[in-house]
Amino acid sequence: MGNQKIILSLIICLILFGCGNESADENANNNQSIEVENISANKLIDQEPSNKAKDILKKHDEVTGIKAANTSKDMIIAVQIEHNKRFQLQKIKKDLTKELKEHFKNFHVELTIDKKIYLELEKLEEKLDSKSITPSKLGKEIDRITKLSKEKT
Amino acid sequence: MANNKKKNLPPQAQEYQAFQKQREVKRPILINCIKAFLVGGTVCLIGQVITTFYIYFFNFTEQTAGNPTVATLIFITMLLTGFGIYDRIGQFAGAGTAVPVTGFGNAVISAAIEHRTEGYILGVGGSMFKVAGPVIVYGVFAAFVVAIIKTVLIQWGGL
Repeated sequence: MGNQKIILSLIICLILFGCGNESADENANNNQSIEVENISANKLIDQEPSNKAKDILKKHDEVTGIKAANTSKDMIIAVQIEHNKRFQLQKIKKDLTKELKEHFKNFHVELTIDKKIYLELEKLEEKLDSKSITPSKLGKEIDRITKLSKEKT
Repeated sequence: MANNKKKNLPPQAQEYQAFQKQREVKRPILINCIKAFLVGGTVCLIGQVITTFYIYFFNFTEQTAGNPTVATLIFITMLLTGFGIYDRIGQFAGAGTAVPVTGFGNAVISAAIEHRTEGYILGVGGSMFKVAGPVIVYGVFAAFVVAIIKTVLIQWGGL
């Protein structure tokens, strides 16, 4: 009997916490907080296409964070998707990739929803902002991240 | 089937069965389910924490972090089984500890411990997969069937 009481109180706690979070989420949605920072202009390595891609992706409601970097040929973008939209993750990825490929026909666009790639690009963006990276290093780094995003096992 | 069997029994046995059914301690199915849900969920939470750890501190993506996570979970279960802690958790939670991958690890290690006295080759080596073997066989078979269904649906169903 003692066990039953403990379990019952646990369930009530779970339900209460769950409902509490839902209302908090709604507030967050109203504020439309998207984690986007444009990379400052740099004459050596032009990041204007990446910033443009961010502006395009910003319009989608399900996107909560965008990180991107590009060389003169390749562009890699990592997006974070709102938690309850993650059931349609593959479809969202397909749609966003298609839209970006239409906008950037001269680039080899790689869009990913992976958390790891997001973190790696975050580090890369910091380096670009502090201008502590050379164009050749940037190319190598983007190649490395693209390869990492394609790893299956 | 069960009803036919009952009718064939002698009347005394039928009487006894009715008597026994009244006295039998009822299984608390709902409580068991809730316990399994909570403990199984906790195991999954630990797995998610390990996955996140591998993504943040090692060179693994969301795709590739699954393999080391499974290995780590099985390793932890192995230690817990060896120290006799996992059995206690299993007694409390039932299916909550058997269904996640930790249950598979427990099945392998407990069989190995049990048959240790029969020698390393025929005992440990031969009996290690006594319980876990069917899991692998039917897991592979189920994957095969699902893959066939998916292929048929995609190739000819136009999904």
